Amino acid sequence: MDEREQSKRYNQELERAIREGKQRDSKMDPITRALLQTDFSSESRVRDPLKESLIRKSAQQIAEQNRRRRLGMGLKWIFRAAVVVGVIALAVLGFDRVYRLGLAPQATQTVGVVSTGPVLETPPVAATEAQAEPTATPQTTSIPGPAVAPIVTAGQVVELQWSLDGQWLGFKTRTQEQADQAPAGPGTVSPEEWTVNFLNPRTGESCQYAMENPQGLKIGEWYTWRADGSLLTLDQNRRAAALSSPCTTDPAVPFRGFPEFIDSILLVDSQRNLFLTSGQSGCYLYDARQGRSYRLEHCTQDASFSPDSRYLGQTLAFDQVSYATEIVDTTSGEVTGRLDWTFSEGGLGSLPGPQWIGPERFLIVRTDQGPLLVTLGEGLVAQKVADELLGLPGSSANQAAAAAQATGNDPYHIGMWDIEQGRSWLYHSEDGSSEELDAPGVRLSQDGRWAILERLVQVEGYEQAQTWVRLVDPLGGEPRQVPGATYSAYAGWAPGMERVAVASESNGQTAEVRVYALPDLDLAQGWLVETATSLFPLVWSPDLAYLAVTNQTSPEGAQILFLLAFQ
Amino acid sequence: MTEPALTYSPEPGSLAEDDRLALAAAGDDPRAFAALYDRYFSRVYNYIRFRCTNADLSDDLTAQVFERALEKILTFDADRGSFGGWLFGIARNTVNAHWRSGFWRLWLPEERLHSYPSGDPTPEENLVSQESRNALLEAVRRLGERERELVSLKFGARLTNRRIAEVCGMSESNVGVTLFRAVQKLRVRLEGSNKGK
Repeated sequence: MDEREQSKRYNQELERAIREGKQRDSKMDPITRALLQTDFSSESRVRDPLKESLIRKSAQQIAEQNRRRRLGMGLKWIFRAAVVVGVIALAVLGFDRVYRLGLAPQATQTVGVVSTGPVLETPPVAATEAQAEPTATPQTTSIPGPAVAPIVTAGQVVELQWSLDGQWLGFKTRTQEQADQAPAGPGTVSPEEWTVNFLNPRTGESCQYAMENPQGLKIGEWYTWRADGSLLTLDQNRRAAALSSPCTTDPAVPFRGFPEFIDSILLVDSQRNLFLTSGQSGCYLYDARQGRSYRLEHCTQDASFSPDSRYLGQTLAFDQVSYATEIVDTTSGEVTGRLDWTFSEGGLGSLPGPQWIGPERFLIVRTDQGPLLVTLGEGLVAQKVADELLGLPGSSANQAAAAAQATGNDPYHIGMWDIEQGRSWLYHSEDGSSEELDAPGVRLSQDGRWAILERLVQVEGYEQAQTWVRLVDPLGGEPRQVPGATYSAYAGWAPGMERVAVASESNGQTAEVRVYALPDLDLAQGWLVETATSLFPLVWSPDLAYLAVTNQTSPEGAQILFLLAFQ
Repeated sequence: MTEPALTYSPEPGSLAEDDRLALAAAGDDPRAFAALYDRYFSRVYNYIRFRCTNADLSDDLTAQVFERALEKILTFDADRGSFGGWLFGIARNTVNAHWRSGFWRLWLPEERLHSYPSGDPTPEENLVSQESRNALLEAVRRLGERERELVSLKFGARLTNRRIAEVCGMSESNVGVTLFRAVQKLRVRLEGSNKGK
């Protein structure tokens, strides 16, 4: 029997099984039966609250329709009465006298009202350069073996974190048995289950911390790296403490003045000196340099520090629509500004903290008025990115923006995209100009030099994502396609944007990882990796010497860590 | 053998009943939309879950689908197609817009870009074990985009091949063959992995 005939029979049988509700039909193969029997909807956390919300909205919508309907009926009757009066007047007084009395139809006046209103013009958008047409991802040659062998195999391997000097790699693991019992992510598994591992790939030194360890350190719960290679974590009293090196036998040194009863550390600044914490006694901002803490009224994970750590910005959510951005001076703990805004499509997701562009400027990436550029001064001064920077007619909740940090008075750039229209733009602060990009989405690299474009192309009648890059400079040239990259978030962008790593889909046994050098995107190195599942994430060491990669949980449940050395 | 607790029909209730409820929801009965919600929630949720695998994200997108459907209910025209086709058109656009935007992904920590299955206890009535479901989801996630879309519309949304063809702009026979090949791929991967145990 040929494939077409097999397919026909299979589909007939499948449609019959669905139609008759026979998920356990023995004639179907086990995989089809499993697919038919699988129901995830019991895992939904929104089913009941969403229903209540929809019933309320539906009632409001119907009430509004009825109000409009009644208004429409009223206007209809007024119009009919006016017509009757007009006809009677014409009949009694004659056309000339009616016209002079102003009872004639008001068409000319109506046109006049429209023509005197504000005229919306299409904004002056810089001409888009002639750009290469998106095409299907080019084929690449195969990477020769042998395949890279795994470093670690466990039930789960998550949270890859390089030390800031690139010497150590930290990662969390759970056993296969633990993962089988509760196959869940780090946020939903008790910290006690995680083992934290540290590995120095140059020296081969390694160590592990279970949640219960002789030093009483709660590394499985929280840790972060400091610039000097030391490690910050919580001690047995839940106070911040520093280890000089992850595998040292020296005791941890506690931080003086650290607030007590810490449940969690929500945010740490880039220098690892400022800590935003929450606990039973409230929210605190702790300054390790001063050894003192400030009590704050609010604290949230949706927060960020300005690049110079002078300010803390937080996105406070009051309900699913009303939000505020609050700015706290980190030298005094005082709230120095607050901006209220709405985002009707916020739904159940959280909104990120302010995206700082410089020491005194940040972006609120999405609101009902589109993205807002906010400047600190006498209060917070907000500008709508779409209207006021890009000169586009109208701001909306469909617009979102991204920017990168700039130091001092350096020029900055803002990428904005409209989700509904599938269009994107780039704003240049050097001269206030803007340009429309030939892509539905744009992000900026961390160093602010590169625009990363996501395009969607039709391949065999189906949408496929592609990633392209170009310099943000107005004369940055034509975008170049990153070979093999689909969505930009899946690529491994090196710090400094000198390179980008891209993993291919696994063929069931191996996948290929290729590193391309920017700006020309020449192939710099490639590896064949032993994995039955796709590779993600691809995490560069800060010194670009290594690429740490895990695969996705395989059907057998195991997750694998690979370490790829760049030469 | 007892019948499975989970039962689907390709078109919940009769088509005419769905259309009547949709008209009532657009008219003056707020309970009508709730009735449609009850009928379609599982199928919409499962469709989205097959496509994006993450439980939290599936919740979020499912909420968006029904909120958009309610907003646009006045535009539903039964003469132009069934309510189910109209609703899954919204669902498909919502998921596509999500991936297209790229924006939402920036909001998710890297660990959440790929799903961690929910840690919730498996309901007793669930017919497929948590482990198998995770393996199944992972295998579906590894399919190509088009194959995953078709598997999601078939097994998550329970649409007929004809309706899938309409929604995706493909021929019905092309839908059938692609679906057949996709399930074969899943079989090779899942059965292969079981043998390896």
